[in-house]
Amino acid sequence: MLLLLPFFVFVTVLMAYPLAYSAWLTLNDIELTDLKPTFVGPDNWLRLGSDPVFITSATNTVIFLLLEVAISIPGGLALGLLVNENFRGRSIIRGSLLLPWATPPIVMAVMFGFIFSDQFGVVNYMLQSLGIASRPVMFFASPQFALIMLVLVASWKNIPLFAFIFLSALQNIPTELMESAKVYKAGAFNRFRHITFPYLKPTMASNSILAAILSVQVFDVIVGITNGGPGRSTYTLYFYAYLTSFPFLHLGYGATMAYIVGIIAVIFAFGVLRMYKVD
Amino acid sequence: MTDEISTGKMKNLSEQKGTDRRRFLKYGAGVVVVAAAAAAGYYALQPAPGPPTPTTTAATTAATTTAPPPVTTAAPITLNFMTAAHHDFYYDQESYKPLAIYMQNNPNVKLNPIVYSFFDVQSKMASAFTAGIYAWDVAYVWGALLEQFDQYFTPLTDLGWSTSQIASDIIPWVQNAIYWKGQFYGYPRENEVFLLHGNKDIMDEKGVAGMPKTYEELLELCKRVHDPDKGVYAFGAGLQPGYLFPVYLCFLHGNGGYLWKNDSQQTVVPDSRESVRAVEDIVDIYKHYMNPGAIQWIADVQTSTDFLQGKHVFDLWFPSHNKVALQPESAMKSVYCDIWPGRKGVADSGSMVAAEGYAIPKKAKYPQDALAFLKYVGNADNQVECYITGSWTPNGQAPLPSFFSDHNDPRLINWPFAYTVKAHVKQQMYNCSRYERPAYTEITAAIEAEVSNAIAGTKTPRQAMSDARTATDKIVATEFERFGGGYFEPWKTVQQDSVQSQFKAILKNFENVPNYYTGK
Amino acid sequence: MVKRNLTREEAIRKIITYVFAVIAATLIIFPYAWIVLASFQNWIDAVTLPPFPVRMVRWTLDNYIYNLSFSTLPKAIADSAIVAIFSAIIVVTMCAWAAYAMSKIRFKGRDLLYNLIIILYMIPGLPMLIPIVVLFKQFGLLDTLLGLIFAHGIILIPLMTWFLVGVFDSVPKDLDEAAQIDGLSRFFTIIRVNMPLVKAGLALILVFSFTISWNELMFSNTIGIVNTPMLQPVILDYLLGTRVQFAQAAAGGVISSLPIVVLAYLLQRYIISGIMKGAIK
Repeated sequence: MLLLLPFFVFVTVLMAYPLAYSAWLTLNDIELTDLKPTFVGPDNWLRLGSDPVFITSATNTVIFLLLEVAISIPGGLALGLLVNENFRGRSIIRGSLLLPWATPPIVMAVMFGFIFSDQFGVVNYMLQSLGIASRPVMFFASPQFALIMLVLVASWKNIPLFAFIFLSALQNIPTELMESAKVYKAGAFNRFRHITFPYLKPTMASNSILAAILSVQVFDVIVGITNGGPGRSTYTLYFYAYLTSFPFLHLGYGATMAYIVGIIAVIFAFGVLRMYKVD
Repeated sequence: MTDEISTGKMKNLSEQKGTDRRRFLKYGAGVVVVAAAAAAGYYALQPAPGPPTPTTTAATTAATTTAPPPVTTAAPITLNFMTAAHHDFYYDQESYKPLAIYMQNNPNVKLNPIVYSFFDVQSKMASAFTAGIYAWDVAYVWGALLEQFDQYFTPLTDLGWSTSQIASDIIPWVQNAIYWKGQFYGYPRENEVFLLHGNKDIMDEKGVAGMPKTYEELLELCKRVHDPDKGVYAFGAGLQPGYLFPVYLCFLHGNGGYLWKNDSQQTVVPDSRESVRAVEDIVDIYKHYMNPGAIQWIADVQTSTDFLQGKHVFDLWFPSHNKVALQPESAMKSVYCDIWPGRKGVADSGSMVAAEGYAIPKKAKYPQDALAFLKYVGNADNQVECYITGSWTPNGQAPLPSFFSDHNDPRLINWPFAYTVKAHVKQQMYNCSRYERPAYTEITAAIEAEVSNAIAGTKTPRQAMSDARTATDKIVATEFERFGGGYFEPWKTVQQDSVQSQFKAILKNFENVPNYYTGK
Repeated sequence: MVKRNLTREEAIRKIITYVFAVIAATLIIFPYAWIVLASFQNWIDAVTLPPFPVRMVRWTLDNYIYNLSFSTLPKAIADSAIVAIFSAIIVVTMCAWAAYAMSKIRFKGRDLLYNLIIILYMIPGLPMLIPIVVLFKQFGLLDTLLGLIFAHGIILIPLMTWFLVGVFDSVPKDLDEAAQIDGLSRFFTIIRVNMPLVKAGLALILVFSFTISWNELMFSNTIGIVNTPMLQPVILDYLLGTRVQFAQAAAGGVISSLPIVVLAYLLQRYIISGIMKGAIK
């Protein structure tokens, strides 16, 4: 029908066609320098198996995704519940919930690179003056922890956003239900488990999907803070795909990896939807 | 609204349609006004367009003819001048303002600096050139870029300029940046090598008489000055991927190694015996004498600040550190500068060069005016003045002159900080190869990641370099298919007696210059 | 209500709430405040421990002067603003109708379409950026404002359509039916009946859209080459290229984020009331 027409035109031209073209590009060798595709069949896809960097990046991406969801969904929920409570100064926090999300990613990279710097970061200063750490903690310089730190940085951005979304869902819970539960002397815990949580399930599902999508796309903070290092411990698939496509100029191989990033996100999203339906 | 309907306050249908139409028109008009305002604002911010290029055609026939100097435009024009962010050329220095001076002397020319990060230039160039758009009149180049994009640049001889002066006077290390397959494409601007710096204040304190002559001596001196409990480390360098490759090269050359094989593909051999030893050296010095955070330190951010504050004693970086010593905020007042010492009995020294220049893309609007500007960039005034007056800012990286003759300039010889020039010239007599080739970005990323793995301890140096070799073999094979090899190897030229004697001749000028600077 | 003393449970709850509130507020606001502070400090003071409150530092505007001396900065800001505004307007204009249809009309394949939007949203930017570069080159859209507007539109379509459906959902169906009975065509139903009610939600969506576009880096950096500098890539080039000291990087960061942060704060009341009206499901 006519109403749907502009949308469909837009989506087809700008999204569907490029995606299909991208799929075709993965079967080609194409360099950014001349943009002339040469058909090579499934070569790019077969290369993935023997590319150790791809395997490292893919592993890091999955770890990142799982950690990110595990941290930011409960965190967002907790924060959302918090700002749902009535207390003085609530509006300050509510007002600043969108601040992290609105911050450009480069600024986030500068922020956290600075604050967690082992040389002159305030966190290390506090840890050392409180006597908790005797030497500066290598937050981003340690191959084991750099990725986790990046997850935390991403969470800083995501948790308030999720809290925001949870808050609106919480506001929609009918108050009569809560009141009657209180009358029946239901404890806070039970109230949460039987009333709040079921109401929040669809929001949790959509937030989990959102978390997945946001985490696979993390890019600017990696470039700005660690640049993939130390070693390749903060190489995610998206980062490696970008490096391959633009600095290294191999668009065909890069498109292949970019596609896989999309596939990972889609698989995760379907998994979440399935999980919440079964419940 | 709900109330309106339910209480019947909504107007009747024909009036409603009238209101609708009016409202529609009002909104439509509003959108149009906003759009027009935005478009106007946008166009207002455009640089003023210049008149079309003059009809004086550049001499495209035989370059050997002595054509009269080509005519530049008289009417006001804007030259898009693309430069790399670390060439803070565009950021007119406190004392010497190269861009302002040029615009003063050529009042019809407006220079519009467009700045990209070094890591971004390649993809921006690739996009602009394949898109075939007019982008820049003057563009930053270095060896790896020129080798890929030579077809998009105009050789200087095509513009009617004889390049014999450049050819005879240019220091071979810098030639890479503007020369490819028999043609010169531009003028050099950056000529810098890594040097070993030493905090003289601390060294004097600890009774260290001078700079080490061998790598073994360096390690000994490190042991003497290393004092982590007081917060002073012996050695510092920037090891974050993106900055690690040059450090690796210094260690490689100091171990007598060479990164390329002498075959048609110029195969990259990160797993050679010398290379593995180099990585072992880096791992060793990191473990014992460096701040652990240095594995992710950026050379001119964390490392240089650290050096300036006297938190490490020996530093490996471009000469710009020395100027930092003159900063009022610097805790270090006296500083040594000398060549990077090689392994005893293996190599006297070795380093790595950053050689860059500017060239003229084929799509330039005003090639002759671009050339005039390039000549200004390459003349002694600019090369020497920029170096001795420039870059006292924390971000500064003013390079040394690129021509042999510039080094006979009395301004350079009598400069209070000529010790850096001396060290620089001395260093260039040794292997300072940067191994520039089209796939440079990819190859170095592979090597850096593996060296970083070794430093972090997740792989042994041997394993890491073996993995690096596996990766680079693939990259080199693809590169060879596209470009066919034949990449320039300046070390072969520099080794020759004729070039070595030119360096020695220059060094005579600096005979009485010490290898340190003593500040107050 | 009669004022009475809090029960034990309520008191504990209140204490816990306040403690967490303080922690949360600090965690959220501190990083940004710290950057703003650093941007006004002398560059060496900013990177010397102990940091500011413990030790007096020299304050200066030098970092801002350095950043504002970039000749491409004004154009970059203008271009980013234009692209953000126009891509927001275009996306909303193109997708509002379909969003309305999905919200109000029971048509075959509606659920399918809704799921399609979710799937489209799941796709990250890079798989679409690569073909876009090739396609734009063929159509001469590389390095043009129009190309950038389309490129940003791609990112915005799924999310904005999703929001738009939610916005229209907040308008009760009976209103539409009543208007239809009164004889209004579908088109004017949307304009006359729905639009005024969703004004808050629409404004919210436009602001979100502007923010996403303003902060976007990857597409802007790739499609915008030289004639269309965009703010985030320009700032990135300066930060990465000379690897400026943190104080200067901080100033650059503040400059690039200021419009958005100000916008977010000014409109936060609007945003929250938009939430109340169910703009976001």
